[in-house]
Amino acid sequence: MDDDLSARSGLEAGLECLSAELARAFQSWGRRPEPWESGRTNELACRAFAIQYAGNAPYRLYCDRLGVSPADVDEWRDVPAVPTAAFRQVPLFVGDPAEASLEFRTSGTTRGPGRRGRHLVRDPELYRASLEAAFHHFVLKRAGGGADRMPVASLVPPFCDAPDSSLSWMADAVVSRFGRPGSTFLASARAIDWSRAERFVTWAAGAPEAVPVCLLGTTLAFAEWLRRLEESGLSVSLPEGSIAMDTGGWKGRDGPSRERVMEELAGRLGIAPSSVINEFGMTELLSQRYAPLVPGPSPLCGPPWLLSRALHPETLEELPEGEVGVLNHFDLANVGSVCSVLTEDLGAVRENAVRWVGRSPGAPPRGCSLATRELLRAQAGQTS
Amino acid sequence: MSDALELWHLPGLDADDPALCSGWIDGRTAAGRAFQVPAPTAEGAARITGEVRRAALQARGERSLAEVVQAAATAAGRLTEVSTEAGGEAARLVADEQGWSEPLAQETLAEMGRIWTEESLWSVLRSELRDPLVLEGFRVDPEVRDGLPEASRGGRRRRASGPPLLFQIMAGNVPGVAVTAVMRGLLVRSGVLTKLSEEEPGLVVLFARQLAEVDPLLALSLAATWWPAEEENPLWSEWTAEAGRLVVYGGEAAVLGVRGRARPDQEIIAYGPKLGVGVILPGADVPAAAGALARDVCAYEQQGCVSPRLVFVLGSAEPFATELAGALARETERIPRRPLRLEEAVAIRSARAEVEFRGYAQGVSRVLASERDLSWTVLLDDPPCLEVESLPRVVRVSRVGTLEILKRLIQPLSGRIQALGYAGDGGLLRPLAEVAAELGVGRLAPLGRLAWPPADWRHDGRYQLLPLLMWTDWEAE
Repeated sequence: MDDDLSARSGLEAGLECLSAELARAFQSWGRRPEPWESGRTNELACRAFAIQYAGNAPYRLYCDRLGVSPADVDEWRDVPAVPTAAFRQVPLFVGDPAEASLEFRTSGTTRGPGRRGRHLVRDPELYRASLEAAFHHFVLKRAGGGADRMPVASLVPPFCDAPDSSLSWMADAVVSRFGRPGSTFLASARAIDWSRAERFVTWAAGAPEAVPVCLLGTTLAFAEWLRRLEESGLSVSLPEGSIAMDTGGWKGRDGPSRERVMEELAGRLGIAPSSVINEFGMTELLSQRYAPLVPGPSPLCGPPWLLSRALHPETLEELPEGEVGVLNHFDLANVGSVCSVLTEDLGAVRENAVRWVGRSPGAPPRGCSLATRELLRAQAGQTS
Repeated sequence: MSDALELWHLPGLDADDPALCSGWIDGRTAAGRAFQVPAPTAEGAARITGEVRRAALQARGERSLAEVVQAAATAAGRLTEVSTEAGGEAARLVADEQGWSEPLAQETLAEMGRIWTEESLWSVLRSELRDPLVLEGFRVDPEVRDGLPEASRGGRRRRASGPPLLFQIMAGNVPGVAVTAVMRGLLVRSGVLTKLSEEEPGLVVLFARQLAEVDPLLALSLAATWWPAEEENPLWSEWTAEAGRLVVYGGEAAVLGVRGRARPDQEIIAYGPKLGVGVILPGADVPAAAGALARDVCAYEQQGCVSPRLVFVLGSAEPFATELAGALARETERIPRRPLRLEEAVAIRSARAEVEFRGYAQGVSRVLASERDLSWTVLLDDPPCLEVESLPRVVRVSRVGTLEILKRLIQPLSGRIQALGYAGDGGLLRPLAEVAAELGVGRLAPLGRLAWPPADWRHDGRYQLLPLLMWTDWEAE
């Protein structure tokens, strides 16, 4: 028992130590964004895996079944990737899941609301460090005018209204770290206050000091805003350096291309196309990727601790650069759960930049054989 | 020069005549094989329909039912004999269309061939009509002929026929089903207009070409081609408007699409998607049952409405799942699985991960599967889960305590189970059959025969020919 306790406390100490080291590394990159040596990344990956193998019980069973232990791992590519489906079944957490600080839930876009995945977060500060560094680099510096703070208007509800949403946590973090006075949440859990949205951009466009602003929202929300702006005929000219960041895509619904929506919205609000940026995140990952709207459809870039590759869907062998396969992400910010995640997304990777092709639709219903999922879901809907 | 196959059979259409044909439409089969078909103009569509109607009418006058049966069986039979030129071509075409190995294509054709023989066709006719010659002319009603009732002593005669034109929409992907459907139409003496499935367009066309050699007039009473369902094509409106009955085989979307086009008064016979279920009863020879189920699973890559996807074991499920895994591995060695589409691979991996990690959480569920690839998968799941997708060689196996529990469990699938395969008995086979009947299961069969219904089965729990027929009663004075 004592041995067990000391092993646990040793593990926790090791995890805290690595988390702190990673947080410092993320912050340091945020100040001086230089590529990481692959040796350094792999050394951190091996240490993270050793901790996860020792402390994440279901993950260890999975690795044992695959015959992979820390002794077999030399680089991030060797670390067994957990399919996102696993997050729908079991808490994947280093240590006792009851000790998780945050619990994020997936939206259930692919499998329906009854089949939402859970991502337990041990150390929110590591998440914060990752997102602040990358947001600052890819959004404020690259897409914006380089301002360190600006008024932020979020079409994403605040975390208090959506306490299981990693996107809302991110919006909170962005507003508190990068927001200037005037920052506001335009959405609650129930709805977006469109008249306040209109007042915000009118205010920002008319303010005498011409302070650039940052708009955050889902692609769906921006599409709705565009529809309303077109209806009302309102158009403004936001100060130079203003940013619009969309995320989430169409969530399985049909619509015009997100590029078209964002380009037209930017036109209505007087935001330069070069200041429109798409964020790509997943509940199962604590780091994000970003792609500018111009020039053309751009690959998604991320910080050096978020590594991606495309795998052959059947054999899981790594595909040559540029070939479309199933995406596998390795995120060091996930040190408290599992770093290597096998997604249901299709895409291609070149020099660690991802061209996202789409979410695999699941096996489409074909021909004469009945796929029961839709049927069961419809029945569940009728009885609930 | 395009290497696209030309897969169409359209009597009366000269594809080189711009008044009749406005160009070509490109399609891709299930495995991505390119093919092309002509795009008829409105005039071309009318010409095809007119020719099929004329030939069918003429055949009614000039061909006996026996001649129709013989011609259809001969033409179809040629597709199933691998040693013949036509049989070899058919097997290669199916393999090519589906991405199947040739042995799988040959086995499928051979099994399908059993229900295409003259004997089989007569068995369907007799099973449904008692006196099949009502399709030739007026026949004395057997009940009346036997002397009853008194009031009809003068006799009552009846004849039956299908509509002059039958429009069959094939949206499925099991090779051979469309040929069976076309044969049903020919048996009821209709002109048969067939919209082929893009996934499996070829066999009906090969059948039509053989029929043209055996009986050119009958071949003219059959038209078959494909076009994208979501696009406007003169054949959509022409064939829907002219046909006396519409028959749809395929998924929900196909059935709904046809309903949207039909006239309100137009009868639609829909064979929608369904699934097969296996039940292992006490006393089953487990290795034999697992082997038989593996054959049912691998038959036409589990694409059929009878293909088993869920298996329930009364008793311990683990020994059966283990045997099934071994049997699937052997079967896959004998007949490799077709290549997967990307989204299928992703879906199989997700299904495996869900069960595997559920097992890590609760200690019971487990995946038994091919290790290096996604060739076959047994999902041993407890508690049972009814969720299945159309994925090749994926079976979910669960334990159930009693028949009563099984009945409650599969109640949500009521009316959606095409076939229930069984092994063992333990005094429970008859009660199982009663449960199946209550749940609207169309057919019970021993495992190993689940994938191959007999010719005279009740497809979707219904007659095959009777729904196509119109009857004329002739009462004597």
